[in-house]
Amino acid sequence: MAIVELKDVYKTYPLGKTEVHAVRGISFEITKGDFVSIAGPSGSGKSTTLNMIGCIDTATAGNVLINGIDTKGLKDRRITNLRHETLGFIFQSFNLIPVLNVYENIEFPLLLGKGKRGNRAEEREWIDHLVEEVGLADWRNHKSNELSGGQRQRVAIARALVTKPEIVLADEPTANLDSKTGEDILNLMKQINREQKTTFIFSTHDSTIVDMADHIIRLKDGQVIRNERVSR
Amino acid sequence: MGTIIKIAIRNLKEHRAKSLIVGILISIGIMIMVLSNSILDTAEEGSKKVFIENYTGHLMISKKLKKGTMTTFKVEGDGSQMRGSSESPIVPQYKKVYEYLSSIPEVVAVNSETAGLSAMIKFNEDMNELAFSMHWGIDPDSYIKMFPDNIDILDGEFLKSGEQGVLLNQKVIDDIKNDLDRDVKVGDMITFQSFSGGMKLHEVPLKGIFKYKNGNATVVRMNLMDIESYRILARMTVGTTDEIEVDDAALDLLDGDFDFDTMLLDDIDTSMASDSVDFDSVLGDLSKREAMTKPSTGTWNFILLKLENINQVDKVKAKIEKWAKDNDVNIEVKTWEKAAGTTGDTIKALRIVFNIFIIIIAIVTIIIIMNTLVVSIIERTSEIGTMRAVGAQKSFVRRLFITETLAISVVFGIIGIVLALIILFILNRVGISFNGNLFLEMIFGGEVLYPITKLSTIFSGLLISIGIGFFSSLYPVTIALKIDPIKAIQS
Repeated sequence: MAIVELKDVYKTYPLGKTEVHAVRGISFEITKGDFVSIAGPSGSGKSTTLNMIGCIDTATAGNVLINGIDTKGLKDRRITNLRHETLGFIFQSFNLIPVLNVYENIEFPLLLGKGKRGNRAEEREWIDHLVEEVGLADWRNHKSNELSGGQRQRVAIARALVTKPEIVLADEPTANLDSKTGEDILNLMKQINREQKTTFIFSTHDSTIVDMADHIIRLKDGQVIRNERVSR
Repeated sequence: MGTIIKIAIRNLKEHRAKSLIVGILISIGIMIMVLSNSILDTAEEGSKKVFIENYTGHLMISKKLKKGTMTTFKVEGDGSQMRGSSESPIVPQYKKVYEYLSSIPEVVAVNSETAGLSAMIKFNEDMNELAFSMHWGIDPDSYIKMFPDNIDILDGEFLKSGEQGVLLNQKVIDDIKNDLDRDVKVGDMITFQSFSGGMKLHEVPLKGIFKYKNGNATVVRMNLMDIESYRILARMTVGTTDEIEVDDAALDLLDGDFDFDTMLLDDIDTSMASDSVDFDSVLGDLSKREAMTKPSTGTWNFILLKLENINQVDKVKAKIEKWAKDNDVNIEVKTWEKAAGTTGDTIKALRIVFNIFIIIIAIVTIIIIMNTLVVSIIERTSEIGTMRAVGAQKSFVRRLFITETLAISVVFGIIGIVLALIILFILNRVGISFNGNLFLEMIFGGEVLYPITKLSTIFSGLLISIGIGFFSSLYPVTIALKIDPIKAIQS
């Protein structure tokens, strides 16, 4: 079953008196548990496509379905809930909350679930597990400005996973990292993908990610030029 | 909520400089507010105590005038500074009103007075040798019962019931000494010259020299005169409530066709001014004769009431007003503020001015905090976008920013209150001296002010801090709520 479905999606941005057509009628499906790479050169529309899947941007036309729910016309509260419960985000610039330490940054999305929090002890155990998993056990009380780029990205990964989302979206997750750290991070995500069947969707032009992906969607000038599943 | 408070407080620490600027502004504003309100409260309490215990009692009853109002000093607001210029403010149906007031269980003392008489003290025919004086006309017995401890007799004695006499304020004696180089002593006959409804001269013995224990600029030249002398000088009209017996013969005269014209026949002898007769020698001492005429006992300007306690004021006031309405008696009942006239109004006006000043400070503070917050929100666009992207509802963002501004305003508001309390504590110990400034002494009810702080002032300071925090966050919050999650990436 498709966990993500895009049907003839368009995205147009106003730019002064003209318009920029970032995405021009793309359609594809993503299956649950896939490790997906949306690849393409700069300006091909891959980040825009990822943002629309992540419900942080809206399509000008067409439909984006998450778990069968059409996101078009959903109210802000519902969209926010969808982002909180179903999606996890890993940003290129990490986007950690500066006043919180490693543990608190990872915990943060759990605190947003109004009245839906589970057992606190279990939550703590889960966060501790994630901290261990991303290799930051010794850094849990440090704030983001005391961490390296790789460490910050690890915090961002743990934060994206803390709500146990079905889909994790990562926008150029290795762009600000050295190759060794980038590789480590990707291996970590692949491991989580295998163990927890979490769907990972990347927007990237990093060939390492493309090589690891089992579903590659190539974009050019806002259109899908190739959509292939890869057996590894 | 714990998360929001944690993030809010850490953000305030993170942006120390901004927080400090905003906080200092709030502290200063709240400090000024608490200080000014405490000083005004003290002034009001001081004036209230001084006036109630010395001049106005708890309630004042007087005739309801068409224009202006009777205060314990004079008629005010009728377009004239003089008593009775537009209409005579005599308590109507005095006997009936007095009896009713005396029967009210909460009333412990009733005192009738007259006021507003300005008279010159005359020493000879030289118009330059005059001293100005103002008087209350009193009945000594009821006055002393109402105000048992409001004056110090410096020389002589207090007035006795049924005797003519005047008590002069030390200030008036000093003025006479300084301006006219004349010594006035107890036992001297003082000649007063009044101009109420025409010139009037009257001699009254000086019974004593006094000063008010809680004197201020308002009463510094006020003197006490026996009511009979006062009425003579003020030409107060005879009351209309006294009943008289008229025999049948007199009634026949009134009913008959009496020809009043015959009273003006040409053949009646008349004395002309050209006859150069010395009328003064013919009539003798007019003042003694006038005193013997005993003007009406019903001519009083107002009645003052002392109650068992001050908490009964509203209840008794309402009771009297109802009685007056039911009995069609044209009187009005005033509390000390109205009875004190200009002084009560001045304190109110001063409070309004201070409150306007405080509102201006609050608005300026709100605008500055608002601007600072807007800048802060613009700087934190990415952070807000990230929060929204990972699932924070708009309500979370709203609560976060309101908490931040409330935290800063409450903390620095409390600092402002504490600073104000420290200053007030010091001022309370050393006192604020007005150095003889009569206007300030009048406003603040004494020569030295020892400010006190009411709990309500502290609470209102805290409430205003919270209000500033809340209102200053409203606009920045609307900006924060417009930040889309996409800004997490774009910023």
